[in-house]
Amino acid sequence: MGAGPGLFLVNPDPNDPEARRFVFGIPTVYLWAVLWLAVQSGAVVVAYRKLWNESKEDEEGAAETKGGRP
Amino acid sequence: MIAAVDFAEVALVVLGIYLVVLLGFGVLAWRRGRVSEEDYYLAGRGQGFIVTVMTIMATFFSSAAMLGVPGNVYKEGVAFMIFALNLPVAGVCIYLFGSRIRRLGRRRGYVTQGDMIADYYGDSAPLRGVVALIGFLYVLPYVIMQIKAGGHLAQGMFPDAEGAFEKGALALSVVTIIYVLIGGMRSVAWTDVLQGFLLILGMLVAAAATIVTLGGFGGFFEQVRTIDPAALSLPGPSGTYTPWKLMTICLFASSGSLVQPAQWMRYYAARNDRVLKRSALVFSLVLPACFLFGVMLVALAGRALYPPEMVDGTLVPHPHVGEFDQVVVVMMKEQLPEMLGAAGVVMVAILLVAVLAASMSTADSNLHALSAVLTRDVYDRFLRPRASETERAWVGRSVIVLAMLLALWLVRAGHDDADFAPLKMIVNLMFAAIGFSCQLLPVTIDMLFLRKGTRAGALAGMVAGIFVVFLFTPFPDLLLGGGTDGAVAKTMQPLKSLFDIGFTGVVANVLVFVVVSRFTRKVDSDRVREIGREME
Repeated sequence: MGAGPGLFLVNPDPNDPEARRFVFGIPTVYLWAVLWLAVQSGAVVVAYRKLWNESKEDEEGAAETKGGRP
Repeated sequence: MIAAVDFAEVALVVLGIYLVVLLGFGVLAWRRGRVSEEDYYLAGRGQGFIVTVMTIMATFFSSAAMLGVPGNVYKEGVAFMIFALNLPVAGVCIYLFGSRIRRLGRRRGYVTQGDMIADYYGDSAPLRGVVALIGFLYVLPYVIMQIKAGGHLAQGMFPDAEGAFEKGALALSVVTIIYVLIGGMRSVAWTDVLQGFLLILGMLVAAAATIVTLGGFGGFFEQVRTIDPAALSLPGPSGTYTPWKLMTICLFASSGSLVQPAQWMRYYAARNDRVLKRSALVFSLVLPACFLFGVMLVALAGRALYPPEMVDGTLVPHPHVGEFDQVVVVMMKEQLPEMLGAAGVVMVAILLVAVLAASMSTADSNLHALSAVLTRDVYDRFLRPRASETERAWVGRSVIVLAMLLALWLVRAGHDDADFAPLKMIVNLMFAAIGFSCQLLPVTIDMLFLRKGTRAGALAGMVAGIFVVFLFTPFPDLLLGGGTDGAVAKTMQPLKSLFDIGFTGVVANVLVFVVVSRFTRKVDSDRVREIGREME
C-alpha cells in the first residue's frame, strides 16, 4: 500500500489547480511516505519482539553467560 | 561562497586525518588476524553487533546515498522520496535470509554464495559459474561508480587543483586497496564502522543545517511550497516514477541488494542470530530516517532554491548546481559556511569526507567479496582445484588489485572521453546491477524456505532472469550495431517504464525455475532434510 496502489488515494493531480498538494503545509506525498515509514517501523519492532526467534546456540550462549556472572 | 584557499586547506587536513585513520585500522586488523582463508574472508565468523550492523549499512549505502538518491529527488521531486520505503523491507531480509544463511554457513564452512548453493542443489560447474557471474555483474559497476564519485568529490573539494579528478580517484583506490589487502574482512568491517558513522552523521547534519539556514521548519516548507506542481506528485516531472514502478523497486531492489555477495558474506561472518536480529532492527529504523529526514530534505530544498529547467523536452539541472548528483555538495558549500563561518567550512569538509566514506565503504566490501567469489568459485573450481590455501590467498589479493586497476582504467578513459562507450554502458549497467543481483532471490527463497526446486531448475531460472535483465541494458543494441538506443531498447521501454527491471527478471526466473523443476531430477531428499534441520 505505502509505495504502491495506496498512493493513488493521495497523489495530487499536477494539472488540477484545486488538488491538495499540502497538508499542514507539508507536501502530501512526503507526509504519506512518513506515515508509511511509521507503519513499517512499527511492524518491524513487533516482529523483532514477538516473532523473530534465535537459534538454540544463541539461547545456550546466553544461558552460559548468565550462569557465568558472579 | 567559501574562500577557495581556506576551504582547500581545511579539506586537505580533514581528508588526510581520515585516510591515516583508515590505514591505521588496516594495520590493526592485520595484527589481529590469523593466516587463514576463513579469517581473511569472514573475520573468523565472530563479528559482534556494532561491527555487523555498521558494515551491513555502510555496504548498502554507497555514494548513491549521498549523491545519486538526493540527485534524483532534486530531479523528480517528492515522487522519488517514496523510494525510502524500500529500506525497512531490506532490513527485514537481514533477519529472514541472514539468520538461516549464517547457521548453515557456520555448520558447513561456507565462504561464498556459490558454496551454499552448490552444496544444496549439488555441485556443478555451470551452477557455480552462473552464481559467480551474477556476483561479478553486480560488483564491478558498483566499484566503478564509487571510484568515479571519489574523482568528482576531489574536484568539488579542490576545484583549483590540476588533475583533481584523477588524483582523487587514485587516492580512493590506493588507500582502499591497501587496507583491504592487509586486513581482509576485519579491516573492511572496522573501517565500515567509522565510515558508517560518518555517513549517518553527514546525512542528518546536512538536513539540519539546511533547515536551520532556511529559518526552521516553517521557512523550509515555505520554500518547498514554491516547487512546481509536477514535482509535488507522482510520476514526477519526467513521468518515470509510477506507483507500480515504485512498489516493485521497494520490494525487489531492496531484497535483491541484500543477497549480493558482500552482504551474504556478512551473514556468514556474524557471531550469532542475535547479532543479525538486532542489525535488522537498527537498519530498518535508522537508514530510512537518514533518507526521509536527512539528505532527501536537502535535495528538496535544492529543488526549491535552484529549480531544474526544461530544455528541448529534457529536464536539465539549474546552472548553479551543474549536475543533478551534485545538489547536496552545492547546498552544503553554500549554506554551512554562511551559517557557521569558519566552523561551517570545517563541517563542509567533514560532510564531503562522509560522501567519500560512502564510496569507500561500498568499494572495499564489494572488492573483498569479488575476490572471494573469483578465487573460490572460479579459480579453485575451474583453474587450480588443488591450489593450497596460501596460493588461494595470494590469488584473492591479486583479484582485488586487478579489479581495481580495471575499474580505474575505465573511469579514467570515461573521464578523458565523454563518449567512451564502455563506461557509458557501465554507468547504465549500474542501474541493472541490482536487477542482476535479484536473480539470486528465487534460488535463495527456495533453498531457505521452500526446498522444492531442482538444480536444473535453479540454473535455468537464473539464466532466464539474467537474460531478461540483460535486455534492459544497452549491450544487446550495441551487439546488434544499433547504438545505445536501438530496437531492443525501444521494445523494452514500455516494460521499463512500468516496473523495476529486477522484478521483470525475477518473473521470468520464477516461471522457468518452476517449470524446469517440475520435470527434472529432484535434490536428494536426505540432503534436503539434513540441510533443513541444520538451518532451523
